[in-house]
Amino acid sequence: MKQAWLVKFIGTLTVLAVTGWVVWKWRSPATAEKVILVSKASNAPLYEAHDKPATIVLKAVEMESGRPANITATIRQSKSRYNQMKQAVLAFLRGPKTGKFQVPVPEGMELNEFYFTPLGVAVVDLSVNQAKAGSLGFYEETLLIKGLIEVLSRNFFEVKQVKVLVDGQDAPTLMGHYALGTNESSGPVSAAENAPVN
Amino acid sequence: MDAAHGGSDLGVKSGREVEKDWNNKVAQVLQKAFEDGGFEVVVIRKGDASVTADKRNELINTSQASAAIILHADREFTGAQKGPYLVVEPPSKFDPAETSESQRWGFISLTQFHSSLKLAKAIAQKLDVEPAFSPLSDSRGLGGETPAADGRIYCLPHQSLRYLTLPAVVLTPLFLTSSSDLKKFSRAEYLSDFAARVVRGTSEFLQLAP
Repeated sequence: MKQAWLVKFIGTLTVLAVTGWVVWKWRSPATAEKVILVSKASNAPLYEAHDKPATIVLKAVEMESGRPANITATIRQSKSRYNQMKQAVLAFLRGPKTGKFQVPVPEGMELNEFYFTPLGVAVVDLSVNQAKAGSLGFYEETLLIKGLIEVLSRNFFEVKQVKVLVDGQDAPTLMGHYALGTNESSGPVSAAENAPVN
Repeated sequence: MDAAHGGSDLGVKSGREVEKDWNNKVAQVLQKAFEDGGFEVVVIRKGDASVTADKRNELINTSQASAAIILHADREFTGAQKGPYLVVEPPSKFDPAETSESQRWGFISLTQFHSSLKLAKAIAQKLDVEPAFSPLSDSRGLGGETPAADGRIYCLPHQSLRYLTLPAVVLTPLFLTSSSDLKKFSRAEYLSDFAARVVRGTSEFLQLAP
């Protein structure tokens, strides 16, 4: 009788411990995700080999007319939306530089870092140190900034505003013409046009 | 009138073409055309002088001019884009009472925006380009107007305009990456005709202005 009670007691303890461990394991990734969303990326890879591909829309320029045109690119559906956003920004910056459709990004322009805040602000920190002086006029700067806004707001419904930093600073312009800082999100993309990555 | 860049600030480049030189070349012809039309012109950049952005804003804002025209030649990597086009600064979204915001980003009132837009439309009409908003324009300031595919007015934030307090436009006569633009603007008669049209547009704006 006493032995049966002891077995029952140990059994209950084991069930409780296993349940507790499962709950703890289940909650942990969510907590980690939150931290990533409000801070800069770690050096961890942006996706894993088994992550499924996802198609996103990028803004490029049709070489024949010089006008903006949509092209698609493939990123991976990593668990973190932050990682997906950063992949999308990189896909835009490293998009095609030859062929019929090309991205309006000058040689030498790189992504320093990407941030996403809980208020829905996507912060794109660009480096222009390696870009040649005089290589970007107002029209091209406009295409680049609008391209960044669209790649983020069209593909990620969470993005409410896009902010561009230059070499980590709140700079007046990217390369001398388009005035940054007033409101980079107020492009012609409406909320209705936004579509989440699927 | 301000020919953008100058001195060590070359502006954009395309091959051997340098923006500051083209801005100056067009400015000189425009100045003559305005003066011949009876205007008094305040020239911000004289020759190849280097003028800081703050100094330019100060000189323009204290000039007591009726309007400001900032000349900026442009470039574009496909070579397909051609001038001319105009830029007007969108109206600011924040309250002007937020002085720190105004000092930092400049403040463009709705009235100032509409005056600048009138000037841009008047010049665009005389230059025979579509006096409508380009689809790349900011949603601020469109005020229900639908952008046109060939619209040559860009309602976009421009560093040369954001701190100005009078009706002002950026006028881009040509793209340095367009061989046809370079060819046209290298001809004195074409440049004179272009300048005369800008003067006519500006005159029309001033007659319409309250």
